[in-house]
Amino acid sequence: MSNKAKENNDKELVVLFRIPESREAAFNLIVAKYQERLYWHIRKLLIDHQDTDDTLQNTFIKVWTGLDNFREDSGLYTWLYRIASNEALTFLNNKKRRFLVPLHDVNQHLSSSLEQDPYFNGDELQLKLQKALLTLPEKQRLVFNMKYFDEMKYEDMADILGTSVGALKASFHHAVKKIEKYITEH
Amino acid sequence: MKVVDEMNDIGPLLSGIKKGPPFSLPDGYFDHFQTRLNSALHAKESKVQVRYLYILRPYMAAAILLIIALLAGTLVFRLSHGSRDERRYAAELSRVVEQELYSISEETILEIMTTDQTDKHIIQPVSSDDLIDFLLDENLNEEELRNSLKSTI
Repeated sequence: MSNKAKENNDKELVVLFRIPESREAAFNLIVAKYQERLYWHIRKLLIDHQDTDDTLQNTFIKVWTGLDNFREDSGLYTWLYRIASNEALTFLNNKKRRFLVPLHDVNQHLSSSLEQDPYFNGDELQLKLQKALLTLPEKQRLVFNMKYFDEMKYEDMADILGTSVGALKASFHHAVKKIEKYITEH
Repeated sequence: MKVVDEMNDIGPLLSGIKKGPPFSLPDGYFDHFQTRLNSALHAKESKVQVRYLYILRPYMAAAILLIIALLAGTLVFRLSHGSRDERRYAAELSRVVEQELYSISEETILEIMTTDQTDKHIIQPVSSDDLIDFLLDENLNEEELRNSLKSTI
């Protein structure tokens, strides 16, 4: 499906959502269409499946309550990614606050639990890459994931994260250098 | 520039790593996600309704109390106004009657009482004209009448 067709389809879904009779059906279609992509987007940041599940639910609850106010300045896809990113970052911050530990320690804990995680099925290099990612600041990790795994355009990333393309390029570049350094040293 | 080319440029080491998230998830997760999400949404909406009721409860209680206070105030106001008129009327009447009782013979009073006309006199308002007529009938002179009226007004 081309981007244009996808956008038109999304616009129709938003219109249908705003009609009370088709609201629930439109919402279910949006969930069915984006649940998997958003799940992986969140999971790459939070690592843990249960945390991801909670955050994905919260993301869609926000979508349900906020879609009426969606101004369509950006595409639905961009808007959903923005909510999911914010929810994931909020989750990490809350986790840090709940356990009264710095984010660095939360990431270290995630890093050490990766090996025992029954839902981790990567090879040794992939494990190293994940551990390296957990040493990055969370926003830089988000940028790296979106560029490296999702192969997103910088312009789309800028829309989602509300950052300039130049800043994103610099952030990605720094992330890659840090990850390479980590992999070489470990 | 494509991501692959960019990676070759800035991170050749990373371009050798298998892409795609190295995680798995429970079987049928996405098949059941929608159902779980819908129940979570309904639970949240009913919680929000309950929360709204909970938040509104003190305001509702305050509104009910205000209405009760207004009703009670109106009632008391009416009663106090009504009773004040009645009190004023009764006081005026008792003063006039007390002064003029002396000019009425005991027999007449007893007659009125025994013929059960007392209630009628009290219940039916007596106008000033009636009183003056009554006093005149009792052969009061003008000066006595003026004094009597001065003391009652």
